Amino acid sequence: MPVVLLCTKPFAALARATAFGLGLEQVPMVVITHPLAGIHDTDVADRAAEAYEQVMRVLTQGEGA
Amino acid sequence: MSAPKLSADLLAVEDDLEVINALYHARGWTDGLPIIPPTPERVRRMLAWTDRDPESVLLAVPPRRGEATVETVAIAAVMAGAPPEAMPLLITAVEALGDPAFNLFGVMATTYPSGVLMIANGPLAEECGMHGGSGALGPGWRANATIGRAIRLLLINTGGGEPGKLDKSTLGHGGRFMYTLAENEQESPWEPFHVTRGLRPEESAVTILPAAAPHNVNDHYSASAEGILTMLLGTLLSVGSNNFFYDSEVVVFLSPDHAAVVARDGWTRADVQRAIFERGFLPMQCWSAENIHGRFRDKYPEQYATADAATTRIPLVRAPDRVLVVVAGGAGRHSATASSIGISRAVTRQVTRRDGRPAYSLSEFKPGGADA
Amino acid sequence: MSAIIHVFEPTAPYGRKEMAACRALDGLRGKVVGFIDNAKPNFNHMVDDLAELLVSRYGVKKTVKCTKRSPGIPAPEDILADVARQCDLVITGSGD
Repeated sequence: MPVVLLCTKPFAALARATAFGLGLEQVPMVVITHPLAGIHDTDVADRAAEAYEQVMRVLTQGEGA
Repeated sequence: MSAPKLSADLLAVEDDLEVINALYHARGWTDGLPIIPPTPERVRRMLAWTDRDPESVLLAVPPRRGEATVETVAIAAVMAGAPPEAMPLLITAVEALGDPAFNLFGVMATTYPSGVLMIANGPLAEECGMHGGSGALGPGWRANATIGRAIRLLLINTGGGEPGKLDKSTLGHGGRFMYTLAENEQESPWEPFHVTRGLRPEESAVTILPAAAPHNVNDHYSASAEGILTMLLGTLLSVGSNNFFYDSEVVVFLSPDHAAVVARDGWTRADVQRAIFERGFLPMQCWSAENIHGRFRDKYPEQYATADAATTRIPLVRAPDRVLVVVAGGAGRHSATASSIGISRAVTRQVTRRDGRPAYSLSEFKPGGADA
Repeated sequence: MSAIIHVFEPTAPYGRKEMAACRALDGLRGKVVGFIDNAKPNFNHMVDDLAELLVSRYGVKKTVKCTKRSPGIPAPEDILADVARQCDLVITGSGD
């Protein structure tokens, strides 16, 4: 099952290390602007757009963020 | 007996304490404080005080899942400056970290500022120098400080949880260096804490829980159990506590003076637990509007979607046994409370021999045998 | 010049087993995309927005949204099984 892992930038290294620990270091990652918590709806929409662009790039070109 | 074969990688370094510390710190292997260089001689002295096989894997430490062996624990203990006699308790604590109920994975991947609170009970705790009296959570007690420190060094160095890099605790607190004490069994009016967890007084155990920093309870005036309970509750009921959001545990460090007042009114430890469970509520309106929506209404709509924030009570704990009451500290009218991470449960683990039999004395681990 | 001594590295070998790489996905048009929400604030709202984008702009057939009970606990087996059964791709959230 193809999986894409999504997180905000300060947690990217931890997410990558956790994936490594689980033997999943090849999982594609999408890294978006921090924070996601405590922001307004319009900013959430911007984060979604940011994630969308990267998801497309990851899936079509096989590159992680 | 021949010296055990050690398998960790060795570095050749200049025999200079400052050079070695600079190297270890640069590699992210310290907690910021100076370490004792882990030479083979020091590690062997540490291993002499455990009957476990040095190559035995105790724990895979998240996030990178490094496999911590007994030898790895001994290296951490040397670096921390622990007395070798501390090894049986330290091994027990590390084994407890691997209990699924502790949820080490969640603890190592969180922004929550938890220290590994470790409460020791029984004869072995006393024999290896653990302290539960005056200033127990502060400086001055070698076994307390170094066992706690060894645990943190182990987590940093085997799991890759280097603070600020892969360990994302937002602020942290001093308990992340060490958060280790014995219960003050001598001055407690009740049975030892580990007896409430199913063990016998003559057995020894550690109980671990990921906990926030303690909050002080200054109570110089209450002369009744009810009075002290009022003050404990007022300190426990903090909107910043994770305990309101999960079925989880809180800790009460009851000073001997306060415990004596409570017991004088005929209260048992279980009475304190029950009272905190029954009276520990905050009205939903105490949280911000965004938290009311996100934590309660949105997450549990069947229960809170249309609830009146002024009259709906949010419980601190879901059962009396979620309140861990430990007698600790010295003379004085200050107790303390601590909230916990919420996604973990306290784990109590008995100190045992290699074959699983309870250990009753530190002498059972003494190099050369009890009569040496 | 000080003498040379030997000291141990305090690290530990990684015993994890590397998983096989995921099979490649030939685009998203007509596919079912699953989301496992880590229950952190706003991830659910971002999922809604992202799902809308995937359906409207890239022709994703359907989205399936699941939420963990808590960020600090793994997704339960029934959610994983449900997502594996229904979806061609899973997007999961980690971090704040």
